[in-house]
Amino acid sequence: MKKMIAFFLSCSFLLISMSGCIPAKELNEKLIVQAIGLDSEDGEFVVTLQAYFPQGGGGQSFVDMSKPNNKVVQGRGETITQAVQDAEVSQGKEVFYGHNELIIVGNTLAKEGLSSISSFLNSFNELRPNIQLLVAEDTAEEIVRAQIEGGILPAQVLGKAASSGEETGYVTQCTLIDVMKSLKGDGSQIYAPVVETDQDAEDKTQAVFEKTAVFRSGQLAGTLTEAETRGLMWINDQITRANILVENTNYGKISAQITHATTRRKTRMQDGKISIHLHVSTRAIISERVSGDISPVLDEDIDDIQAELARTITKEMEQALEIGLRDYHTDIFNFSGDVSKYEPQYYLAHRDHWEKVLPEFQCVIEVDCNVDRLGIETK
Amino acid sequence: MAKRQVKMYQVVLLLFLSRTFTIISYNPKQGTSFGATTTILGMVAGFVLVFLLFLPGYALIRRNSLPGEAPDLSMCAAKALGKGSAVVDVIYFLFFAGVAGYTVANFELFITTAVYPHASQFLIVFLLILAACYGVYMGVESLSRISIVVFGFFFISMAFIFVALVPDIDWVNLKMPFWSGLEQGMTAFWGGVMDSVGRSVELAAVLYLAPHIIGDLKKGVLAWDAMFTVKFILVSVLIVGVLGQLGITQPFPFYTLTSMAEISIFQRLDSLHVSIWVLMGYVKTALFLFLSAKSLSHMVPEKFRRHTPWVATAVALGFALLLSDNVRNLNLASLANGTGLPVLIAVFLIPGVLWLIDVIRHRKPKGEEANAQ
Repeated sequence: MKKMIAFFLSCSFLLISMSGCIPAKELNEKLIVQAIGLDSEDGEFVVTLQAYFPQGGGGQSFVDMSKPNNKVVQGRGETITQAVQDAEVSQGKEVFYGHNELIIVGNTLAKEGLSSISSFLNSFNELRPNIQLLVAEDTAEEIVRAQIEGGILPAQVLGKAASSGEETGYVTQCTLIDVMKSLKGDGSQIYAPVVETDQDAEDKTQAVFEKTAVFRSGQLAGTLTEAETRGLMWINDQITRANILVENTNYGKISAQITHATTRRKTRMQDGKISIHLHVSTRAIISERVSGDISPVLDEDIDDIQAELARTITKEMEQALEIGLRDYHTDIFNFSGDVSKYEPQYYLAHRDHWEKVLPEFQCVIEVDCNVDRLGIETK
Repeated sequence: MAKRQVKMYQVVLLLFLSRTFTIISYNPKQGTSFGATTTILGMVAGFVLVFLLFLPGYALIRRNSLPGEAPDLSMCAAKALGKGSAVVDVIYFLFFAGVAGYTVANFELFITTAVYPHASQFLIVFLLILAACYGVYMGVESLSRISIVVFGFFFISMAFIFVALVPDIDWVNLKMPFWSGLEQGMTAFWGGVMDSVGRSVELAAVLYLAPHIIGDLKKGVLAWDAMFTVKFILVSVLIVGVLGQLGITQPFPFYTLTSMAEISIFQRLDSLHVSIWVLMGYVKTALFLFLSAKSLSHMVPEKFRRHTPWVATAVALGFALLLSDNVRNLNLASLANGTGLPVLIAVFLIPGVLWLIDVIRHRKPKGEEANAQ
């Protein structure tokens, strides 16, 4: 009998005490943030939050896709935490960041340096390490407030556009963990896609990714064009798929789809200088030919096309190396990792002034392009 | 002597889970650069050292074993020291209660730092220790059985994390050992050795669980040590490969990895992994509370022995509240633990001294040996 009483008392005690170590909040009492915009203005941080705010179409529809379904709140403060609290207080709900998809950094804040926000990004437990980071062409507020159409939430559409852009080889990916690794590490620098808004033919707002922001010591150093961005991605072995346009004297313009790509690096000392050999291996399909002549591509002309593809890829890589190492003096290619692994003495001797030795690096590019499919067009 | 109740493989799994719990524990040494691959070499050396540390205690138990029965360290101390063994019992009672309290404090720090910052520290500590106290009453057999289930969940969880994150490993982060020079390399190497030794409080647990175990103690300890070393190395490779230099600056780098691990639609499963760690924390706390109560029961009369789990729980709760009250206290405890000194004393020094005393006091005179022959 005593055991039964003790058992029931224990169960009751556990049930009562475990019904909330943390105060429970209903879903409609929470503001589910989907995108965070960070700007700097007059010495203050400006935080703009885009949150999920369903607007039903009446009847059984909880979410009407023709409506914005989001709410934007803003806060200011001397620290980001203060600014976030200011934003939270202004609308009364408890803010939940666990579903946040994006962090957008304004151009001014990017120029001032990401180290001012690194502490917040690193220590805030609700932010996931693999959320995307974008740099706004102007202010992050503009991007967060933009009602980008194409889905339930603008932030989701923006995130998907950035992700799918990576598959074309023109838009890089930058996550929170990449930023933190760069700020805490030795040498390698951040690069992130630049986003701006534009109106399409139907006057609807869309996101445009045409440039890549490049950082040096956490501060925005400049941008890369589309071709330079792809060169960067070739060097960093980030190309999974890409479409390359080449011109051939026999066939005019040819669109080749890269189906497989690998970049290998070899780092060694040569005549007292670092020499990095970049070897790119790709496989491609001829997907389209724009020409007055309707005859398909012949086997014997494949060598020419492969050579043209290799030249185009090499040119993109050379452009990226030139602008990264010699113009911006920034190690966006993570050469510091290779050098510290294979030539540690050189790295230890030069790591305190790494950006100064970058222009001395000699990079040798070798591209093997294998066009193994000619498409399904035949004579 | 206690009846043999649990098979060696169950104890191996139980001790493996207990030791693995330290991987998510707070490590104040995060923030200093170590040299990851050199530290991994240190872990391999630590594997050998840990096994060597166990040998004096094993020799002592084996020396006092009868066919089909093995004593625990307390019984061996009673034989070697007589009434003086009470000192040994007090030391291990406090030691095991301290380990239980330290485990709970570490767990509370993790939960209130990385998962639920607004949770009540006292409630987390109190409820976990209370639940572990209930586990003590269920006995070591139940604990061993539940460890098989928890190990299954843990194995699936780890397999998922590895499969999800191996493609994200940047092998450039794993540099040659001693790449930064001999001095820094030796610091990293020794750090790896001490990390391995400092996390091995379970060796002391084996010395008290011996009467309950069915199977070869030496082989079991070797298997446990090998399993953990392999796992520790794999986790270290993952942390360094994926997080790089960032892993050194994080207080809970393994939790960061779990929040990144995703395969297809299986995303954001860090809460699931945390719930498995709760079970591991419970198993470890219950195990050491059991051992603490066992040490205490050697000192008290028979009629009070059923209350020893409550006393051990109260002492462990005191330790836990003291450590969780202030992160500086926990830092000090972690640093002390990281030196390997507590393990060296509890696993090597005391059993070694007892073995020596036992050998000296119970050695037969040469004349008697010759007559016996």
